[in-house]
Amino acid sequence: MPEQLKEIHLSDEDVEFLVSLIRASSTALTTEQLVEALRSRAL
Amino acid sequence: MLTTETPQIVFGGTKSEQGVARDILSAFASRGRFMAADELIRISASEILDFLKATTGKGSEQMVSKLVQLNPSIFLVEEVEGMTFIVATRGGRTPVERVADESHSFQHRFMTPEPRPERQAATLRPRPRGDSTWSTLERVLTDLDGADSDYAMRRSLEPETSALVTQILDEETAPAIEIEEEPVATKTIIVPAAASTDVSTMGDRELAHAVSDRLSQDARVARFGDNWMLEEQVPRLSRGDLRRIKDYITEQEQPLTDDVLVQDVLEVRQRAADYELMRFALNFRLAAEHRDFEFVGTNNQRFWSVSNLPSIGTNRKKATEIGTDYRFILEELPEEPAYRSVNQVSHILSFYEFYLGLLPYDPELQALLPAPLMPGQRTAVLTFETPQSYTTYLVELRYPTPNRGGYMLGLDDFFNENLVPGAVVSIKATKNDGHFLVEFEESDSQSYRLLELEERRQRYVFRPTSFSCVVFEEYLLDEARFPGFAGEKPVDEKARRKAETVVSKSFERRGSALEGGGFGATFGELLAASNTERPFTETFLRAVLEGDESGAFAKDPDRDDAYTYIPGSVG
Repeated sequence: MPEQLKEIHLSDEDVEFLVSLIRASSTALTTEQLVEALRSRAL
Repeated sequence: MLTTETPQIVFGGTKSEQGVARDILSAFASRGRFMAADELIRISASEILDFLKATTGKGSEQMVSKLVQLNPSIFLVEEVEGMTFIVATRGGRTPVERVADESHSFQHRFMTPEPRPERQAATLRPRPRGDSTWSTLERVLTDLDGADSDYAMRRSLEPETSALVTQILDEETAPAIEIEEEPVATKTIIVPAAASTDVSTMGDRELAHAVSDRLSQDARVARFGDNWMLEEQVPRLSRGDLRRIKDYITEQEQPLTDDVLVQDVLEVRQRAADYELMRFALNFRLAAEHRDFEFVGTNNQRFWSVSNLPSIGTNRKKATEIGTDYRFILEELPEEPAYRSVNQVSHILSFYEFYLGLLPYDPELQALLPAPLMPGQRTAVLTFETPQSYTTYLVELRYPTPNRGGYMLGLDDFFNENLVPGAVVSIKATKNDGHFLVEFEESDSQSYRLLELEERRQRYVFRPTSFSCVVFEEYLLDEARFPGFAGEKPVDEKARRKAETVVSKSFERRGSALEGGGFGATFGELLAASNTERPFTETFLRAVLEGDESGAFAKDPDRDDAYTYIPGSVG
């Protein structure tokens, strides 16, 4: 639902984490992989 | 002009001896004219004697020795290898041995570096440290790169590094700022890490949306579709590359996929290490060239097009007119489309669709087809494979706009070779979101006199037709059931815009007159006949029949799902 999607705000820390992942990869990463990485970090 | 200052020199001896001594000193001055005033000038005693004899006509060795002894502050005697030399200076002062001052020499300075200056203790700034949960970065990267990657191997070879990271992370769990007050130059400052978002309670779709939303705003990151890379790591395409890509698409006269362009134009082999990188680069860079290139693909099948390509599909009607014909279908589409939520759709082919070789973008097909990949994407080129004829067709999907409905063009040949209006086609999705299988159920050969629109004369005619596909008989436009079409022209443009007029015409063409006047037809017959003039969906036709305010259309109480029409009531 669009209303629920708007409620999620990633922190600057999250963005830096994702950018570091993208930087470390030599090929393009998919959004699905980035979501999985965010979840793995939280474990 | 050279001027020299004559020093006041006092000579010893008698006046005549003083005159001789002055002459001798002048001889030294002449010999050392270009020497420093205190530089030692050596002249042998025999030369002095010759000088005196030449200038005064008299002189002896004793005389020279006496003059030297009388002027010890002016002359000195040196013995070198058995020869006697008289030494004097141009200034007439006692020659003294000069000692070079080497207390400050370049050699000494270069060979003896100055001691390192004592550095003052710099002011340390607080340095943010990573969140302790970053300890899983190692595992994340391993997952992404694969267990055999260099990164994974390197990490596995550095257990001491991992231990160090763990130690650092343990220190970082300290909640407050700690500044050591010991009088040492280096200070360790630990600040609390910035908070990371707790994503454990979020859904995948929501999280993916949030990731896309945030990263899209980050200029460091390059995005194409569902893929992300660092912008600075994406290779650039030269103007020559862009021109060759454009020329190649134009030459092939059809949109081409990124795979084809990377291999054929950029000449990167599919097995090359940088193949995927170049694919991403091609897509990302072409997307920025709005004037020359248009993305017309899907996530799995990325087609690129250029202007002035031959259009895909029929030329019998303009694209804008078809879109306007399907405008009514916009109201049937859900507000929140569930793209690719179904795997298969069956569809009964109407006359309008058959004639133009298209399929409508109705709610059923929308649920089968992919969403536009790019913002503002107007069209997508799909491939429809027909396993029964081993043929693949390029189909152009035109997404709906606020004023026009959507549809798919390019199936003319498939329809003409295999089907008739009323046939049932099945469209199946594949793993590739841009590739579909289209099939029909085969049957024994059947022959009917079926309706056709003669293109040159623009008249409806019935022609004997044989086909071998399963049809929905109520939708079959054969001469026996729809005699009213024979020799008729399609209704004019103004009349066809009014759905009620087209439906009333369908009643008349069905030719089933009622006893008390008027016409009757089943819903299926009306749907088949009305679709000859313009597209109707079941929902739309039902709304026209039951929402008619003039009362011309009514439900037939004697037949199941049938309607009646009393002429004269509809304009």
